[in-house]
Amino acid sequence: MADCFRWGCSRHLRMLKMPVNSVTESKKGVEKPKFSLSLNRNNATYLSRENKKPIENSKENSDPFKQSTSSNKENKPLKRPLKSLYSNTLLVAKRLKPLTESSKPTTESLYNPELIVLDQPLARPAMLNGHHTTDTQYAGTTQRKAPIATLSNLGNTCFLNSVLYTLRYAPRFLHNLHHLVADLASVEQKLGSIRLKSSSLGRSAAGLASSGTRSWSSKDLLSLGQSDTSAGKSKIQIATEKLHETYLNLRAAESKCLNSSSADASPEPFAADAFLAALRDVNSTFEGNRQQDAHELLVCILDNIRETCRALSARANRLQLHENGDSNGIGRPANLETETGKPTLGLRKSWKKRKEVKTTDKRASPTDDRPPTPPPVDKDERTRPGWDFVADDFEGTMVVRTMCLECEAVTEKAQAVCELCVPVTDDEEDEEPFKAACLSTEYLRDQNKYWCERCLRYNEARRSVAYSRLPRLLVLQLKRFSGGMEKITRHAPTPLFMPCFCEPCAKRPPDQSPTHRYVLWGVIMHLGQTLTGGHYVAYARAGGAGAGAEACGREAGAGEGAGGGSSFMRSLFNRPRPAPAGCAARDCCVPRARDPAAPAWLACDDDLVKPISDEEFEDLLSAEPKMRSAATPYLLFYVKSEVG
Amino acid sequence: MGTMRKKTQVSFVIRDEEERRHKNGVSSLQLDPIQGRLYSAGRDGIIRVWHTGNGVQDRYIQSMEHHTDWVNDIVLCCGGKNLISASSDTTVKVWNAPKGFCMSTLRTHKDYVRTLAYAKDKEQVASAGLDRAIFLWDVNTLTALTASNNTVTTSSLVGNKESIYSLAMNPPGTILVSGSTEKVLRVWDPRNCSRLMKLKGHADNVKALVVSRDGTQCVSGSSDGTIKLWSLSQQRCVSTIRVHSEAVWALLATENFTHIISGGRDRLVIITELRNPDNFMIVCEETAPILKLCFTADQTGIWVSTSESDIRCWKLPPLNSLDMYNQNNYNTNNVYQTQPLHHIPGGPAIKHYTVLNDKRHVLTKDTANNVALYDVLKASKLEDLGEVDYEEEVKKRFKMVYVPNWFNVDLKTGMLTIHLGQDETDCLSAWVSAKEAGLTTENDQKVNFGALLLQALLDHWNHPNRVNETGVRVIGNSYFNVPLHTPLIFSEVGGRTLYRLQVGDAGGETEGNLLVETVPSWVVDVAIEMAAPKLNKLPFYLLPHSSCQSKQDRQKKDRLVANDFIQCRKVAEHVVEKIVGGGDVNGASAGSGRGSANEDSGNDAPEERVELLCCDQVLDPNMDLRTVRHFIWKSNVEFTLHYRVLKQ
Repeated sequence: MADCFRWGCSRHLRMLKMPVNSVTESKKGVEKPKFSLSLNRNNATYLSRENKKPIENSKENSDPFKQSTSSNKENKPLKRPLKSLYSNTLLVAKRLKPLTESSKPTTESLYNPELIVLDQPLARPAMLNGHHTTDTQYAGTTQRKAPIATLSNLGNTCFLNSVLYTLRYAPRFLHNLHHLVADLASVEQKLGSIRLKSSSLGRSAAGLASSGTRSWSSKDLLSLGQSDTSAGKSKIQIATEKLHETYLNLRAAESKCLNSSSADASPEPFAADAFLAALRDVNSTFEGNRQQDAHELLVCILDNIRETCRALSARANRLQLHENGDSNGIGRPANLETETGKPTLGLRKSWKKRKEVKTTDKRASPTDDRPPTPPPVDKDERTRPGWDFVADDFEGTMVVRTMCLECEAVTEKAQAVCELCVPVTDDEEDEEPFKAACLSTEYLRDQNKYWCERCLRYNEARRSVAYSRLPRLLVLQLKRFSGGMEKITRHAPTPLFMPCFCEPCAKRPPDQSPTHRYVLWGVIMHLGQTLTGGHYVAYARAGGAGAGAEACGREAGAGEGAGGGSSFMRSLFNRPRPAPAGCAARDCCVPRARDPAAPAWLACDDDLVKPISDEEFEDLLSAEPKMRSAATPYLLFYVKSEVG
Repeated sequence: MGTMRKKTQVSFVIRDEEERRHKNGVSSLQLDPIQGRLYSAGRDGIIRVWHTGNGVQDRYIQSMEHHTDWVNDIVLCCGGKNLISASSDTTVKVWNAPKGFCMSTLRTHKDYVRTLAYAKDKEQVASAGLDRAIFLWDVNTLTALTASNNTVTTSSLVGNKESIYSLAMNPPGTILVSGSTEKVLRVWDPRNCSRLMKLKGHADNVKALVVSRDGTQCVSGSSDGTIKLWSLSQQRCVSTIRVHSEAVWALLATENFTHIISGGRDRLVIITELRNPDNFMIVCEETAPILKLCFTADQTGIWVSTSESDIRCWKLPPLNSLDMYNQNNYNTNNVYQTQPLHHIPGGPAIKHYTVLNDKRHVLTKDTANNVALYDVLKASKLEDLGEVDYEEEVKKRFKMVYVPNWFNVDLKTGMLTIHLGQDETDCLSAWVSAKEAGLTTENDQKVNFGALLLQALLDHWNHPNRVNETGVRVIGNSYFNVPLHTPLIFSEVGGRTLYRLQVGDAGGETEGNLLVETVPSWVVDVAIEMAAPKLNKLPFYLLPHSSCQSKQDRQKKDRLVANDFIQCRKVAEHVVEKIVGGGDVNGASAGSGRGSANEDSGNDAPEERVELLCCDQVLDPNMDLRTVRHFIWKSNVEFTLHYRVLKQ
C-alpha cells in the first residue's frame, strides 16, 4: 500500500498546479476575478496580490517542485495557531521535495506511517479500490460521449471531494440547491431596490429618529440592505453560494468539453478551493490541510444549507411584510441574528436546537398504537422561498417510547434525526443489517429504574427507538471509529436494496408488500486506520441527479396560484412560464443526463472519475471482492423508492 | 455484614393511627374460606383483613403493617394460620395471619419481590422478583424461626435471565413456572431444582400464570394482550386466547381447569372455556386495570382488585351456560354483571403535593380531589380542605420566606412519606427563628427543623447516652411531640429497608437494641447527643445607600458574614451600633446593649433609626437574610445590602 501514499502525494502535487491551470484556462472570462481571489484564500494578501498573480503563476508553472514548496508555505493560513500547523505545513513541504525527486518507496513509508497498508503485489497498478489507475484510457474512450468533470485534490481534500461528488449525484439535491440559490438572488435583488428607496427615506427619517420615535422598519431595511451587498453577506450564505458555484463550474467544464472540437477533450480537474475557503470561514474545523471526517463535512454542508434556507425564509417573510405595508415591524421575525449568520460556533448548536422534542402520553395498547404521522409537506410549501429541503430530504423522525412495566403507560418523545449511525455487526448474511441496529429496545432496570409519573415511583421500564418517518435520502454512517481507537475494518454487508423500517412499513402485515424501499445510490469508502488520515473515495449512481428537474413544480406551479402564496410571493417569484422541458436547474448545475447504456456507477477518486459497471460495483461491496481492496464503506446513501 | 455500608436515611409516614381503607391499588387477594376472611395486599404497604360474610356492615378487621413499600403478592398458607407477603421493599415477610403480626423478615432478594407461588400439599412457597432470582421456602421452617433460631435454608432456581413478574406452582409442588420480560416461560421441577423447559411464544412480558393440579397444563397471561394455554407434557402452546384488547395481568383457573378467568389493563374480567376459547363472556367491567382475581368460598363469585383501592365481588355466570349465553347474547357491550355483589370501598391516594415556602407545610391533593394541609415538622395532618381548587390554595399560602430544603416527599404508597437524609437535601440545613416557627414567644432563639424532628421521632429511644452527667434523662425535643403511631423507617438511600418501627415503640428493649444497630451516627449526634448542627453562614456586603450622605471613610464595602436566618432587624442593629453610632452622638445608646436591648431606655428600635435596602427595595425588619437574597437579590454572588439612616 505504499502505492497509496505515493498516489496521494503525486496528487497533492498536481493539485498545487491545478487551480492555476483551471483558472487560467477553463474559466475564461466567466468568473475569473472570483477565482483568482479564492485561489489564495489562505493568504492574507490575496486582495492585493491579484495583479501580480499571472507573473507568479507562470513562474510556478515553469518550476513545479519549487512551486510546490513555496505554495505550501504561502498556503499557511494566518489565522490558525502557529506552532503546530505551521510547522506541519513546513514539514509536508520538506517531505514533498525528496519524494518527488526520487520516488523511493522505502523513504515514503517513513513519512506517513499511518497510510501504510497491506502489500498488494498483484494490484500494483491498481487503485485503492481495485480499479486500475490507467485513467487515461477512460478519458479517451468514454468521456468523448459524456465527459465527466472531476475535482482536484487540494491537499488532503479527498474528504471534501468525496462528499461533493456524492451530493452532485444525489437525487434531486442539486435541483433543490439551485432553487435555493436562485431564490436567494431574487430576494436580494428585491431587497436591493427597497434599500435604494429606504435610503432616500432614511434621510428624512433622521429627523424623526432624533425625536425619539425610531422607525423599526426603516432601520431594519437599512440593515437588510447592508446584508445584501456582498460585503455584508453572511458567511453561511456565501458558503452555500460557493457550493452551488462549484457544481455550476463542474457542469460548465463538461459542457465545454462536449462543445469542444477536439475529440479527446476531457475536463480539467476543478479545484473546489473557493467553496473550501467559504466553508472554512463558516467552520474552522476544516482549516488546515489535514484529512477530515467526510461525515463531519456532510453534516456541516447540510447544516449550512439549512441555515441559508432559514435566513432566506426570514428575509422573504420580512419582505412580504414590507410589501404588505406592515412598516411598523410588528410581525417582524425575531431571529435577526440567524440571518446575519453567526459563524463557526453557531452551527452545531443551531443543529441541536432544531431538534424539537414533543412529549405525548398515551396508553399502550397492542391494538391501537398509531405512530404520529408527520404533517404532509404542502406542495405550496416546497415552492416557498427558503423551504428547508434539507429537513424534508435528509431528516427522519425518531420516536422514543418508554413504557413503565407496572402500569404499562407509554411516554413518547419524537425528535428529528438526520443521519443514522449503525454499528458494524458480525452478521454477515443479514437480510436487513441496519434495521436491528436502528430499531433498538432496552430495559431500564436495576439501579437505573425509570421514574413513572403515574405510579409515582421508580419502576422497571422498556425504552424503544423507532422511526415514524424516514427521509427521502437516508444517510447511514457505519460506526467504524467507535471510541476513536482502531478502525473496525470488518466487512459489513451493504445491500443495494433495503426494505424500509419506518413504523408505517414495519406495521404492515407480512403478506402486504411495503409501500416503499430504499435503493443505494452512493457510498463513501474510507481507506486507512484513522478518520483524520487515509483516503476517501465516493461511488455514486449517476442517473438520479437530474431526476428532480423533470418533475419540478416550481415554475409550472407558480402561475397556478395554489392559494397559499400571496400575490407578493407570486409577483416576486413568478418566473416566466417554462417550456415543458423542465426548470432552469437543468441547464445550470445539475449534471447532464447520461446515456442510459453507460455504466450506472461512477467511481470518484479525486481527479479520477471512472464509470464502473454494476458488477464491478457489487464486487466492491461483497465480502471477498475479486479486486481486493482495503477500503471499507463508511457512509451509505439510500434514496426512498415507492413500490408499485 | 457489609463493610461498605450505604448511607442511611430516616423516613416516616404521616397518617392516621388506623388506616381502615386501602390508600392505593390492591396488588393481591387471598381468601380464608374457613374463617370467611379476605386478605388484601395494598400498594400502600399495608395488608388488610376483611370479613366476607353477608350482611356485615363494616368489613374491616385489621391491618398488617410492616412493609415499607408496595406489597406485591401474598399467599395464605398452613390452612390460614400464616401469610407470606412479597414487597417492593425487597423483603418477604412471614405473618401470623389471625393475629396479624409479622413473625419474620426474609432479606434474600436484592430488588423488588414481585410474585409468590404456593404448593399447598407441601407447604412450600416460592418468591421471585426483579433480581431474577427464585427462592423456594419451606413454610414450616419459616414459621418456626425465632430470634435465636434464625437461620433458614432456601433452594434457589437459577437460569432466569431477566426480571420475573409472575410465578406459579401446582399444589403438589412438582412444577414451577416463571414468567419474565424475557417473554418466555421457564419451567422447573422444584423437587430437585432442575430446569425442565423453556416455552417461547409470547411477544411481551408475562405477568400472570396458573398451573393445573397435575402439572401438565399451564395458562399464561401476557402484556402482549394474549392468554396462552400450554401443554407442559408436549412442551408447546396449545392455543392462544385473544379475548382482551390490552395486557393481561391476572388469571384464575376453575377447580378442574376447564375455564380461565382473566383480567388486565382493559379493565374487563372475562371467563373463557379453555377447550373452546370461542366460548367466553365478559363477567364485569371494573373502573381500573385489574391486578388480581380470587374466588369466593363457594366459587360462584370472584373478588377483584385493581390499581385503585376498591375491592369488589362479582357473580360468575354458571359455567355450563357459557356457550348458550354466548350464542344467544354475545356482543362486546354485553357484560354479565353490572352491579357487584359486594364492595369494599378504598380510600383515596395522594397523587400531588406542594411543599410550601416555609418548608414545613405540605399541601396535597388525592385521587378524590381532596386537598389537605400537612405539618411535616410535627408529622401530622393539619386540615382537610375538601374539594377545593388546589392551585388556588397553593397560591393563597405563598409566603415570601425562604428556607432551605431539608426533606424529600414520596407518594409511592399513596400516603405522605417524608425522607430525611444527608445527600442532595441535607435535613439539617434549615435553621429558623423559633419565634417565627411559632414554637416559642422568646426572641433570638433559633431551632433546626431537621434536628427538632429527629429528636421528636427518637424521643422514646432509651439510648445509653440519653442520660446527662447529673443522671437526668435528657428530653430531645422540648417544643413538641410527634404522634406515637408514626411509622419510622430506616433504609439505605435509594435501597433496602433496614428497620421499621412506630415512634412510640422505640422505648422497648428489643427495639432499642435494633436501633443501636441501625441508627446512623449523624442522627445519634443530633437526636441523642444534642449536638447542634452547623449553621449556614451567609456572606454579604453592607454599604451606605447612595441617598445617604455618609462619612467618606464609610464608603468602602463592608464584607460581613451572618447566619442565613437572621433578620434584617439584626443587621440594622449592627449598623446602629457599629457604623452610625460609632463615635456619633447616639453612640452611647447604641452601645448600651446587644440583642434584646432594642427597646431599652425609651430609645427608638434600630429598625426605626436605620432602614435596610436591597436592590433599592426597603426591607421588612422581620425578613431574614436568605429570604432577601432569594427573593430580592436573586443571585448567589456578591449579595449586597444598603443602609439608610432615618434618624440621627
